Amino acid sequence: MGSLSSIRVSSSKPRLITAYTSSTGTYIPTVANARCLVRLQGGGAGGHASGSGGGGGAMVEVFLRIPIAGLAYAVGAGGAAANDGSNTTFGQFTAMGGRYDASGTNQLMYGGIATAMAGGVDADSATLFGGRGLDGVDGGMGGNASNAGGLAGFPVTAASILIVGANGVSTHLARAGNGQGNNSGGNSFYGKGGTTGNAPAADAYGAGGGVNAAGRGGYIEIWDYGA
Amino acid sequence: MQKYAQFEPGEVNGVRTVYQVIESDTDPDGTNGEWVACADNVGPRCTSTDGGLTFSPPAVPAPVADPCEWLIDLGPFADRLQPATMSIDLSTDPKVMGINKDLARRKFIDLKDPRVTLALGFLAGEVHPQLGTIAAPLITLAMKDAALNTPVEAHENLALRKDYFS
Repeated sequence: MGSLSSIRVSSSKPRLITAYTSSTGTYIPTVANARCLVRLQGGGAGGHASGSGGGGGAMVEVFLRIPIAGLAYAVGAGGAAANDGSNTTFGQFTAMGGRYDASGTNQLMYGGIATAMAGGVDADSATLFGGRGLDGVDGGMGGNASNAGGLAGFPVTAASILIVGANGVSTHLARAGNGQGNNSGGNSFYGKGGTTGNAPAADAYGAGGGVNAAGRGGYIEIWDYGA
Repeated sequence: MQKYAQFEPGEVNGVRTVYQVIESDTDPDGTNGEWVACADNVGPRCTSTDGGLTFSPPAVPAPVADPCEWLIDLGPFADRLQPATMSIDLSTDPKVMGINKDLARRKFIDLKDPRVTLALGFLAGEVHPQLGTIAAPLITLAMKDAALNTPVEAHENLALRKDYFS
């Protein structure tokens, strides 16, 4: 997550906090080139008709100066059952919506990803590469018949967490679920995924839907600190 | 609220792809681009050939082929021929010894390689185009089929994946 101390602001409190939960428009800052903290939440995916919950959307956080002409925004909708969550956009920035996978009925649906690395991994080595992505939190993966939805920050289907000690001994930690039960949607930064057959709570922006249920729409929050 | 879809720029063979879907109380068309009212079950990657009058769901991506699906390490391959492995290794039949040498010189075994199929067929008593027929089969046809057609599990090709496919 970005550090507020990395940016000098004229006041410790924002002059204006604006939230968008739907639609599209233009955000006009309080002053020209106002310093603003912006959080974008992608929409949550809907769950599979019978197999799995939807993935939660990613949340990305940026600190930028917004010109007086403003920046265009669009709040991504939550996906209906069997649909991806939509991206949420603000100017040139995008928060990825949660994903729905139609290729199988028992898949773990992937969460929206804030940043990613790529490369080769095997039993005892990893070669990874990639640029530094935006600050933020990935959406949690949707759950399936054997697993609850994932926590925010866990967008993919790792069955367990591998820890390699100094002497080479590895320890597996069971992947933590979100406590919403099997077939639940994945969490987002803003809330828990829906339980099986249910959409997330109204204020769980970007969380994934349970089996056969819609995901929750995205969200934009702008903390405007002025000049 | 009503859902509205926005297409990606351009079209391919008359097909337009949805990039983003929002919910709005009022028609946002013209605000930050064109928006088309759509049904609740329209989402990103859906497509339309009639400008948004109707939509089709996203295409299901084909599963990525695993290049190692039918490749097996030498040791696990020999294990699949148990309990006949020792008989095969100790055979003094020059044709059996030739098959053993041919398989052993490889880094791994491709279970779908027709030469491997012919080799196991020979050991099971089938006619080999170059070797003819074995005097006394060392494996059964059922063992041959099981060895060649049982899906390779992760522990049976760990080494070749690391050495040649990573």
